[in-house]
Amino acid sequence: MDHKYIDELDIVDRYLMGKLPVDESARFEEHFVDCSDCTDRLETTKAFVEGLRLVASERAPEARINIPKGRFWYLRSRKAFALAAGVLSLVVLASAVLVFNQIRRSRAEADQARSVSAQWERRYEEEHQAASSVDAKHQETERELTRQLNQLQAEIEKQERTGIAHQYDGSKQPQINPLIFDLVSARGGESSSASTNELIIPRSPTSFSITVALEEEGSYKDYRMTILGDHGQLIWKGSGFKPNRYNALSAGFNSTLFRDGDYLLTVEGVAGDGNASVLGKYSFRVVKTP
Amino acid sequence: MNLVSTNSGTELVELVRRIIAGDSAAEDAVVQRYRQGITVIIDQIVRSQSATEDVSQETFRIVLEKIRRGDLRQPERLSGFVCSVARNAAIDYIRRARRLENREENCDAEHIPDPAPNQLDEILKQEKSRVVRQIINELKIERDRDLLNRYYIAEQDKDRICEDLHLTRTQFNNVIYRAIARFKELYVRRVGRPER
Repeated sequence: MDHKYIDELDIVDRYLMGKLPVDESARFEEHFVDCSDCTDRLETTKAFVEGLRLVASERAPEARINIPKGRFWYLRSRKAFALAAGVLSLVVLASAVLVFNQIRRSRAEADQARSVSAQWERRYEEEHQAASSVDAKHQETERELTRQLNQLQAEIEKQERTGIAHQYDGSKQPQINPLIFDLVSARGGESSSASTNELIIPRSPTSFSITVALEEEGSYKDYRMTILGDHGQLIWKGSGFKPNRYNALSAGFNSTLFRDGDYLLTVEGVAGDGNASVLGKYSFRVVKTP
Repeated sequence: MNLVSTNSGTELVELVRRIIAGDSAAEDAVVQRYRQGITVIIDQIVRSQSATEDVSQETFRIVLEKIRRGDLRQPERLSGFVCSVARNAAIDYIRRARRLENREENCDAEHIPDPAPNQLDEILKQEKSRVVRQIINELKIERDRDLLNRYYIAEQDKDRICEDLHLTRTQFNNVIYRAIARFKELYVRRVGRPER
């Protein structure tokens, strides 16, 4: 065994630590027992390791002694340590129980919260579905109303078109032999009963016109006409008439306004200052035919 | 591996011859030659200074008697013979100590404590710890202190320590070498040679 081998394989340290195999330990002993260098290294290393162990063993009690007095002073004796360990175990056990209960309570609360959450979700879903249903119904109703409105509008337009057409048709239809009565004025001295004008009109409602010719042109602003019955009662009164190109005044009536009998038409001219002047009186008799 | 050089073998043969011839100087030469090594071997077994001294004396008594009687068949193997006698004597001491102290059979022989450390032992112990403490305080790198504790106190594997502390084996050996060299320097300066 040479020193290179001893150095490379840490033979000295391993020998002192008792880590060499028996045969190798015996060979190393046979070497160093007659080798002052190796023996010297062995002694030095051995003394150093012993010194290290002494220091380590001295520091261990120092570390124990340096435990600060206060909370842990009672850990010095075994009985006190055992007591402390027991108390600590109880505390740990109690803590474990508390933690377990807390966990169980927390789990229950979590389950309850999950359940409530699920209920809310279901309710929300139902309400959402209901709202969707209402919305759908509303849209459907709106569509129905729109459809009905369009239908009504269409009907109205159709009716309007029909009415217009009827009116148009009515207006378009020429009235055959329209009744136009040209009244002759009553002269002074003539009996009011002896009417010179006789209006023969059908008993069914019929429109007719009365025309009176003005005998003189005046500077009247306009004219007004009044019809009185045979008892002097007012039958009709109109104003604002203007003479046509033939210096005649015309007024349209419906046959329902009159009954069989005698009537007096008075024509007045209204001046610019508002004063009216009687221009003529026209008596006439209405005779309704069946 | 040749444990005994040719020159050493010649010397040993000569010593044996002289002892057989009744040369007491040759016997002293044998004792001086092997005393330090024998002490290490025995101390590794008995772990007691006083016991080591006793066993060492018993070892030399046995060795010299056997040489005188001519029982050493291979004189060039004297070193091996001395080691063998030392180990046997140490083991025998442990057995006797067990019987005497009525210790349990399963007791670890290597951990029999020194029954009565003398005053010199105490002084040496104090010096060792003082020197080691000084060396530790002189170490500027905490890693080196950690290395020494892990290697010699915790007896961790060298490769594992190198891996943990990111050291090569050369760096590791340098730390160990410097620490022991410094210890030797200080300890020898205070006590003398680092023997027990």
